[in-house]
Amino acid sequence: MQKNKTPIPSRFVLTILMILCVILLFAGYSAGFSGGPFATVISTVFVPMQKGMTWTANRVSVTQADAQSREALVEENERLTQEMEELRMQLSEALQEQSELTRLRDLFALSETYSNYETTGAHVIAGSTSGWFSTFVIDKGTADGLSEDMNVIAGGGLCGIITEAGKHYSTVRAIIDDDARISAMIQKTGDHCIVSGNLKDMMTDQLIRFSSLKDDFDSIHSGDAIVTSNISDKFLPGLLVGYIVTFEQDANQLTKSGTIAPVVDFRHLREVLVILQVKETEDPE
Amino acid sequence: MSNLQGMLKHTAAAVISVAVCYLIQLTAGPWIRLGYAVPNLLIAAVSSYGLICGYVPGMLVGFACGFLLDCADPSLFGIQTFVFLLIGYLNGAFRRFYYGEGLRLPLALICVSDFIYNGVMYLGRLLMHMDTDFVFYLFRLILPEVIYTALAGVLVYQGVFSLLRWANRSPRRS
Repeated sequence: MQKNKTPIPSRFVLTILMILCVILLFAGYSAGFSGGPFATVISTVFVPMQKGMTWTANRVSVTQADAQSREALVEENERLTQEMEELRMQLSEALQEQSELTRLRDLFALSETYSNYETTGAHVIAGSTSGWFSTFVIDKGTADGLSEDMNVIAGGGLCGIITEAGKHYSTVRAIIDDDARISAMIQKTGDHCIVSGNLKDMMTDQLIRFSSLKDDFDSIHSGDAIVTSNISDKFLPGLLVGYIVTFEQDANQLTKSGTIAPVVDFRHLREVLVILQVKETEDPE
Repeated sequence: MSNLQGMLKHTAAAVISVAVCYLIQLTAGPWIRLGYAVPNLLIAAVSSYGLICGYVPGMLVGFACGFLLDCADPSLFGIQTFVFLLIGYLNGAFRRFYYGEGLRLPLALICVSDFIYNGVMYLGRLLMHMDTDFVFYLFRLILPEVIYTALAGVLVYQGVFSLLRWANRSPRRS
């Protein structure tokens, strides 16, 4: 690096870079600029390395698992084989019921509601830049059929939504992020509410919040499941978000708010599933 | 000619250290985190550069690091570039007290820098979410991160120091 002898005075450099920063802030705030071509270049360079690191780390943990004693593995194998047999039985039963269900749904022309979404698995390759944000990066992008606003699930529950899709990577904003807002409903009653992430609640009790719940008949209890609602504009309906922990009447005496325990363990996310379907809210015409 | 070579070497040193810190902080972050604290290696790198090389290199490295982070997490685009630039500049001011020995000054500066970074991030949060509970974040997020960053900062500082010594070696000023 140049020493003090440089012809450019440092104040001058500082001023120029400061102006650049202000331009960036302005562009980001008003025009939604988020790196544009620079972000593409950066991800092209770093994403392969991040994939490599994640792969290596996963390999190392697999090797550690290999070190388990052989007897334990044999025993586990026997147990699993037995379990698989039982599951096969259940599966065949379920398949029969499924076919019946499909038939009945066809009869009612309901085939597309709440049925199985097509998903694809992805690895988490990078966490958020600091403790203040709850975003992460996964190793699949537009080349694998992913696109912005696709829902991400993990461990049976809603995990987040893709905010940015590159060619071979995507950035996901977790539902526990402060900027996350989800239109949801109580599964049992169908009453709508808003679920929002909250850094403080997440750090103290691993909880997120819900608000604006209209519950005129006092029918909610702690432990009730909250799922994404059918009127949400970005989230597919019926995805499990979490279970109510506490709730209270708001000061306006009309609505209720409280806390939810999310089903996803956000501290140990390694693999996620992306639902390959974007919610369509407007008519194409 | 040797001057150009020296500049190239210095640039290479900067690029290597920034890339390594970025990769470790983001990719290995979820594995090495303690509670909510992930060591902020890039802050340590920028702080070390500012201290060892002075204002201009500190600012340039800071700007680059901040921009990298902003691209990775555009929640509030531009804010991290701004903070990192400022940290590069502030650390550059301490170059006159720096004689290339001891860890006390570099570590103190890394701590202060990380504290400033988190302070600004909190301010951004305060403005956007009206969250006034500073004490909570101070003890739950900021102080653990500062301590963890200081511990990891020892390694980062040593790494940057060695890289710069390598870059300085052949084109020694006559």
